[in-house]
Amino acid sequence: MKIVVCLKQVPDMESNFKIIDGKSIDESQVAFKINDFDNYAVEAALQLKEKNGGEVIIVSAGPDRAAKDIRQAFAMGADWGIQINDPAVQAGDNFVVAQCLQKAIQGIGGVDLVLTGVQAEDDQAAVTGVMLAELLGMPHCTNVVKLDISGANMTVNRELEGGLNEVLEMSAPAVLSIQSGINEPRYPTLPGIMKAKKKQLDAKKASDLGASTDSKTEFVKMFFPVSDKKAEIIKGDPATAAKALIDKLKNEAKVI
Amino acid sequence: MALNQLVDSRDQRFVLFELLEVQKMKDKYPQYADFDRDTFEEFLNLAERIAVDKIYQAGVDGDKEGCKHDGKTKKVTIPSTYKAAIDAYYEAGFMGVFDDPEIGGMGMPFAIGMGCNEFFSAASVPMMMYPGLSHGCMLLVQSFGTDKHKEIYLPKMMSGEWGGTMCLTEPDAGSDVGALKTKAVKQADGTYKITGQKIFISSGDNDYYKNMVHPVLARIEGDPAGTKGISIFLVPKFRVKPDGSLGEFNDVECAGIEHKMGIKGSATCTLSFGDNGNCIGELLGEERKGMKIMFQMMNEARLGVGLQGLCLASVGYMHAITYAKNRLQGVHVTQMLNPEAKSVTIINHPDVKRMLLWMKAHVEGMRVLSYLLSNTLNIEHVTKDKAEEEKALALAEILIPICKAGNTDKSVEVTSEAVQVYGGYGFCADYPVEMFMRDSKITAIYEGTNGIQSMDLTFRKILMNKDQANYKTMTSLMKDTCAKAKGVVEDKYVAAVEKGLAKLDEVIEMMKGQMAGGKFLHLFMEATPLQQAMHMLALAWAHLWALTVATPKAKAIIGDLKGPEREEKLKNDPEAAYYSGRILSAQFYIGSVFPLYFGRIQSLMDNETAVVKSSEYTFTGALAE
Repeated sequence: MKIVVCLKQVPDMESNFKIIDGKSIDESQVAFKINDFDNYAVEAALQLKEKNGGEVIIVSAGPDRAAKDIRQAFAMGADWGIQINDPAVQAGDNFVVAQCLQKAIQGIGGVDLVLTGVQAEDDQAAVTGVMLAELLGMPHCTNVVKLDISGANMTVNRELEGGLNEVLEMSAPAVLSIQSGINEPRYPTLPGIMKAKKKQLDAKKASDLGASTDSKTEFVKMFFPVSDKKAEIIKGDPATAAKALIDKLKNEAKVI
Repeated sequence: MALNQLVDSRDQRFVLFELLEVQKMKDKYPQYADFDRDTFEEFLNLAERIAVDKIYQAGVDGDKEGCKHDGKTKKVTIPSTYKAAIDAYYEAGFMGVFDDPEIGGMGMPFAIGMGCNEFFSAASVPMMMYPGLSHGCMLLVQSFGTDKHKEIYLPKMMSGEWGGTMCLTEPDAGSDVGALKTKAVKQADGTYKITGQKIFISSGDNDYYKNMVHPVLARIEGDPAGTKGISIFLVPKFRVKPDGSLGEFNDVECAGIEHKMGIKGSATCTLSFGDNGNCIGELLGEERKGMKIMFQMMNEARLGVGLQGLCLASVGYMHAITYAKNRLQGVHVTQMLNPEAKSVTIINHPDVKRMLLWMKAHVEGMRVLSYLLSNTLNIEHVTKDKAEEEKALALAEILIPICKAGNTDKSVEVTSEAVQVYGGYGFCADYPVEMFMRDSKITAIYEGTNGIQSMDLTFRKILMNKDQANYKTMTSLMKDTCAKAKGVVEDKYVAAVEKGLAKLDEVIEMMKGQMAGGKFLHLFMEATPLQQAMHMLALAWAHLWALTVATPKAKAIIGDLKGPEREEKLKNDPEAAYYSGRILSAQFYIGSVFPLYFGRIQSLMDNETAVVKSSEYTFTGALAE
């Protein structure tokens, strides 16, 4: 099987975030890592490779620093990769990224399966995988928590609200966005780290891929959400307090 | 590199890459040509992740569960939480992180291996003793085994399929190894029948490894008494067939395990060899060379125990910081008369801050010392330059007892201080700091008690060492540091270390005279005080070195900011905070702890003879037995 995993490098959420001019994050104080959800996708791909043979290819859009985490996936066992390293792509929206991923994947040719994380930890948009499926003209399934493959036939469990699973039959090639908990991602190994240094990582720009860098959305500004602390403690004996609470729910909050 | 509860990763990087400059080894030693800073970072980061994710909690839980011995089957069960954690260590390839690639190692510089091991042992000292002891045994096989031994044993020990021990101690042969009674009788096929009992054997039996390999010190029948008659044998728990598969049980039984105050997850075993007359061993190296062979492993083992001391101090200190930053208790001392004042976190209390800075200064100083020793042993192994090799050996020889004894004694004190920061809660088993304190004590005892280390330092490493070459190598390095510090570091800190060096010279000269005058009892009595003084001087030197490197870097980042602006900078810039904190701990050590050194030195110079004069009759009031 030829499996592509789309991997995004994201800031470690425990970093000290500072916003510069409402536009971007001061990266000097930020540590970066593999998007956690993508890590599950890498593991899922490696398990499929171990079972069915083939190769695992990492495709990632990110600046120079992203190479470190692509090689981390190599150290886990992925075979080679493509890094779309282009400031214009980085400045673009999810559509620009999805389009670049599409062109890169089409360029590889003969891909049986594309795995993405269900969403990225930083923007939490959860749209790139779906857009990519549409652009590739492949069927897709989101929130995948279980995956069985036999030849081109797949049985996929999709996580729904309330702890339910939806079971789907699909056929490859397809795009699946992988939910956390589907597996336990392996650690890289020390020999893997050394081997990863020698694995092929092709650098591409949007123009190499023939992809557009025109966004479909407009960036307005970046800001920390304002947190309101407006809790009110209703005083008095239980009967009076209950009455006051009902009054507030009816007339102020208008929820009952 | 992230925030964690085990090791200040930033300080570890400071020691590795700003003091020792390990990243430059690739330019000097060809075996490290492939290893750049990025590779080192990846190895260290992976060690940190596995230590935090897999080992730490398993270690805490394992302390509560402990080890079990079944009197009927004679089998030992180690904590159930350990298996997956030790698996993660082996599967990632950390067993051979700095070993020769020829035996399946990664061939990293020793200091990077030590960096990885610092995370693992800070996460759990007792758990890491299983691969740790196995590693020492594996290197013995590598150095002294036959080709057949190497072919069969090394891959299985590297992968974690088989484990290993060191079998020295017997009921009547502890510090006095020469008194051992274990017997070896040569058989017609060249093997030896082993009979005897060994005690306090760490990892002696367990349910992790499929086979155990015991290097056993024993006396071949007819060989002379004392250490000169000792040989060393390779004794597996299960016999090994020519194809490497397991054969019959080799009559090595665990008669029981110790119930200890600490390292409860490490099985400390009494092993009976040949109770049924059926235990076979093979000679390692030559006959009657057992002590010499075992001593080759001592450096690594003592470095390892010194590291355990550092690790426990580190993990205790890291826990204490987090607790002190979160525990609200009492108002700030400047607000004691203000009835409206709110509680502050205890890190704001001057006495707690002092305790933390005392711990920080010790942990960071010990880290420099441990990594320097590791790097020095590394250079001694790999250099082709004879002069460099001799210098490295001289420095390593003297640093080993200072590092082992000094770090482990301080580890007991630092972990005790961690409990103190937690207050009453620290005394309760709900928090792990009491475990660190319990675990630390053994490090001052095993692998040569700290008394033995002090005597080794005083006699073999200094007074009996030709022209005091070891001592002069170390002090000349210290003097170089003083020279480099001048003009960079505030004069008073340089002057303190220089004065310390001059005073130590006086003490050593005096002791040389006492040695020539045959005052051996007096010198034995003063061995530990000398070791304590030298550890203090070594830490003061380490801090002066750190100050020399950190001061200009802090200046470049913080400039002349003062008061609230400086605080704001430290709050928002982790590098500014790190360098500033590193300078403060160094200044605190040299300015506030190191003055005690001069009292210790004075006591040595004063030659108080009360210990020599005291005898068993002057210790009164206790029961006869």
